Amino acid sequence: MAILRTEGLSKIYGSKGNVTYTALEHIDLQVEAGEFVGIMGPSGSGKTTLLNLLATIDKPTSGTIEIGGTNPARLGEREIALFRRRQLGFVFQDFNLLDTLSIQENIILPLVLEGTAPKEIERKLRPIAEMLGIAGILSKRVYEVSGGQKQRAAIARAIIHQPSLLLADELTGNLDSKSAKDVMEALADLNGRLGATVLMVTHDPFSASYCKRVLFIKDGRMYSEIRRGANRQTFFQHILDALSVLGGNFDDVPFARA
Amino acid sequence: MTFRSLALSNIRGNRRAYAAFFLSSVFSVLVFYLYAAFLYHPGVTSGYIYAAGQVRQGMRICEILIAIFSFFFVLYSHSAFMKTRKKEFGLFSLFGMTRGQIRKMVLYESAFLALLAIAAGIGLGLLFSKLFFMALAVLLDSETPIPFAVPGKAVALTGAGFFALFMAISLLTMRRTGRTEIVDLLKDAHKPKPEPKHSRWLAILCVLCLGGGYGLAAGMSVYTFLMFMLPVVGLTVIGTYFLFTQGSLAAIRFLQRRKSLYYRRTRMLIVSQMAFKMKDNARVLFSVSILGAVLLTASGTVYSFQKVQRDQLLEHMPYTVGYIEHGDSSAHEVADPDVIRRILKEDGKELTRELELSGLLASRVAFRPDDGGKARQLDGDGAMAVPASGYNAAASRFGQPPVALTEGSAAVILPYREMLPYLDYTGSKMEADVGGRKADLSIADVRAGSVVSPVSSAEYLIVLSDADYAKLSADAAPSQRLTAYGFEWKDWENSLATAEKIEKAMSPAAKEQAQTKRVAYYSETKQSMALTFFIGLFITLLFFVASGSMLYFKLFTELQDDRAQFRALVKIGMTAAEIRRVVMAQVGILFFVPCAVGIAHALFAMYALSNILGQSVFAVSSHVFVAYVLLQAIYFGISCSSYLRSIAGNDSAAAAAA
Repeated sequence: MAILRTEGLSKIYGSKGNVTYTALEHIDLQVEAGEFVGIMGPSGSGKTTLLNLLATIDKPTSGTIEIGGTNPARLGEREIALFRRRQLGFVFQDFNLLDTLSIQENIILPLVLEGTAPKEIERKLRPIAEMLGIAGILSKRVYEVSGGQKQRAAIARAIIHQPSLLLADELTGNLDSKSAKDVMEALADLNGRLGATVLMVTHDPFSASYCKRVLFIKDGRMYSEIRRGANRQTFFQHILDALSVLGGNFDDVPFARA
Repeated sequence: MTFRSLALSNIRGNRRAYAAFFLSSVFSVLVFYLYAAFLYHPGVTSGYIYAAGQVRQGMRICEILIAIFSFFFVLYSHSAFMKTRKKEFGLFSLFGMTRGQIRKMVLYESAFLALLAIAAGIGLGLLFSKLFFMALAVLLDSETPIPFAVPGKAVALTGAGFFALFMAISLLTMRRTGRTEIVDLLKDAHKPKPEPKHSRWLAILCVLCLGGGYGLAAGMSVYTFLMFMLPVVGLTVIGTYFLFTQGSLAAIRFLQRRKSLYYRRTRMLIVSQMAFKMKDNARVLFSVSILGAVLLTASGTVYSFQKVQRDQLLEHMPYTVGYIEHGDSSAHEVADPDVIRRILKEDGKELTRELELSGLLASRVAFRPDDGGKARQLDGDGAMAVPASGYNAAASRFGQPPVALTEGSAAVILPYREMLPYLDYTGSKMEADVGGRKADLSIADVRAGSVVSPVSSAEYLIVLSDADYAKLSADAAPSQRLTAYGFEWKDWENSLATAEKIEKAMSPAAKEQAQTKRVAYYSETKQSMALTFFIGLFITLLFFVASGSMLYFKLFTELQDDRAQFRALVKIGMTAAEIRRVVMAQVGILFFVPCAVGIAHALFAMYALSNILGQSVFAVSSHVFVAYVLLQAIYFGISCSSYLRSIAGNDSAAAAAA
C-alpha cells in the first residue's frame, strides 16, 4: 500500500521582475508503507522544497500529493494543521525542541495537543523512550542533554502519535559522527521493528546508507534511484558512486566523516 | 553608505521594537512641554492670570517627577535595547568596526531618535497647548482666558533637557557594551536558558510578607495609620518582589506536578512558558505592579475624596443654610426666614426642605456614668433640648429612625458619626439646667447625625420625652428658648451667589450662630480636587503608557527565540487558532498579572482608606480600577496583534525564501 504518492509535482517560484525559478519539475514519487527512503541531491537541487511540499507547509504550483489517501491541498488551513499533527511526524536538523519544556514534555507534545488522557500518554511514552535509549533523561531540560540525545528525543516526538509518515530533514547535520551513528541506528531500528514509514532528506552518504532506497534529484528533477542489498557498507559505496556521477556541490554542509 | 545612513537604517530595521519606546518618549516630552508651557506662560509669570498661582507649585513638582521618571525609563529602555543588539554589534566588530565607531553609530541613532521624539513631542504639545490652557482656565475659574502662547523658555527647556537626557544615557549604556569579547557578543543571543528555580523558603516568605502587609492594611485605623503605613508599604513591596521571583514559580511547579491538569492541550505550553516569562521578566513585572498599585491608590484616593467629601459635607452641614436663634420666634436675631425665602425666590431656587424646630437651652450639662466614674462636662455653648416629637419630625427627613422615650429618660444626638465611639453616654445620668430649671435625666440612647445645622448651642441635641419637655418649657424665659432654622434647595451645588446673598442678609453680629458656607466649601474642594485630578491625570497616563511600553518592549526582545519556537510548532501541526491562544496567554500574562497584582494592592489600600474615612470607597474607586483595566486591555490588544503579526509576517517571508 502506498503511503505517499506524488504525481507531476512542480514548484515554480516567481519574483517581482517576472523572473521565475523552477525549483521542482514533475516529480513522481511513491513510498510504500514501512519503507525507509532517502532523498539526496546537491545544494539547490530542490530537496528542501520537496520536503516542504510533502510537509504541507508549502503548496505545489502543479501536481498532486496524496498522503495516506488524503490530498492535503483540498484541506482548509485548520484541517491541514490537524493533518500534519496526526498523519505526519517531523525531525529537523536543528532539533526544534522547546527550551521551556523538559525532554519528556517535548516528546509528548503532539499527544497533549490532541487532548489524550495523561495515563494513555504515559503508556505510549515508555516503550518509545526505551527503544530510543532516552528513558533515563526524560526529566532533563533540553540544554542539559547532548545533540544525539536531543535528536533521539525529536524522533520520539515525531513518532509518538504513530503518524503515517515520518519526515526527516538533514537530521544528522548538526551531530558528531558517533551521535549520527546512534541516531541513524535508532531510526533504522524504529523502521524495522515498528514498521514506521520514513522519508529522509540528507546530504550525508553515511546517513543515507541506512535507508532501504535512495532517490537522487538534480536541478529539481528525479535523476536516479538505488536500492540497498543486504550490506550497508556496500550500499554506502554505491551511494558514493552515484553521487560522483551526479556531481554538484555537496560541501555546503560539512561532512561529519569522509 | 555613510555612517548616518547606517544609523538611520538601523532604526528603520528595529522600528517595531523601537515603536513603543519612541511613543512613550514622545508622550513624556509632550506632557513635560504642556506643563512647562503653562509655567513659563507670559500671562502666568507676570501674575496677570491670577488663579494660576494655585497650581504652579503642583505643576513644578510634576515636572520634576516627569524628569526623574523619564531618566529611569529611558535608561532602562536603552540598556535593554543595547542588550538585544549585542549580536549585531558583534557582527559589526567582526567586520572590523572599531569600538569608537560603534559608539558613534549608537550615538547617531540616539541623537536621531531623540530629535524625532522631541520634535514630535513639542509639535503635539503646540497643537494641544491651547486645549490644555482652556481646560485649565475652566477648572481654575479664571476670569481671564489663558491665550495661546509659545514660551521660548518652555521649548528650550524641553528640547535641551530631553536631548541632554537621551545623550547622557546613551553614553552611559554604551560604556557597558564596549567591553565584551566579540565571541561573547555573537553568542549572546543563543545562550540556553536554564530552568527557573525557586526556593521554598522565599516562596513562604512571599506569602508571609503579602499576608502581613494586607493584614496590617486591613486592620489600619485613623490612629494606627501613621504607625502602620511604612511597614505595610515595605512588606507589600518585598512580598511583591518575591511573588514574581519565587511565589509564581512555586505555584507553576505545583500545577506542573498535577498531570491531569497540566497535560491538557495548549495548557502545557502556556504553563511551562509562563515559568520562564515570570522569571525573565520578574523585575519588570514587579516594577509595573508597584507602579500600577501606586497609580491606582493615588488616583483612587483623590477620586474617592472628591466623592466622599460631598457626602461628608452633607452630613456635617445638613442644611445649605441653617442657623439658631435665641428668644421668641418673632424677634429674629440672625435672619428672618421670610427674607431668606424671598432671596431664594428671587434667584429662582426651589426650596426642597425647610426646618423650624424650637427647643430650650440646656446649659451646664454633665454626664455621670452609672458605675460612679468621673462626670464629663459638655463644654461650649451647652446643648439644645428638643421634644421627641420635634426631633422625630426633623430626623425623618434624613431617613433617621425616630427615638422613643419614657418620662425621665433622654437621648443625646451627637453631630458627627466619628464621635460616637468616644462619647457613648448610654446608661449615664445627666444633670443640666434646661430652660433655666434643673433636670435629672437618664440617658437611654446616644446617636450621631445632625438633623439641624450643628452650630453654637445646637451642636448637641438632647431629646426629651414630650411630657418632660412640656413641663420644662412651660415657664421658661424667652432668653432660654432656642429655634433652629434650616433651608435646603435644589441645585445648591451651583448657587454660591445665592448663599453669599443670604449670608449678607444675616446680622453680622450673630455669625457664630449660622452655617452658610456649605456651597463655598463644596466648590472650593471640588475645584482643588478637579485640578489635582487634571494635573495628576497626565502624569498617571504617562506612567501608564511607559509601563505598558516596558512590557511591550520585553515582548519584542524575545521575538527571535519565540519566532523559531512557533515556526517549529507550526511544522509539527499546531493550528493557527492554537498558536493564537498560546500567544494571547503569553502576552496576557505579561500585561494582566501585574495589573491584577496592582489592583489587589490598591484594593487593600482602599479598604484601609474606607476604615480611616469611616465610609466605603470601593464603589467610587472601582471606576478608577475599571478604567485601568480597560486601558491595559487596549494596550494588550495592540501588543498582541502586533506581536502575532511579527511572528506570522516573518514566517511567510521565511517560507518564500526557502
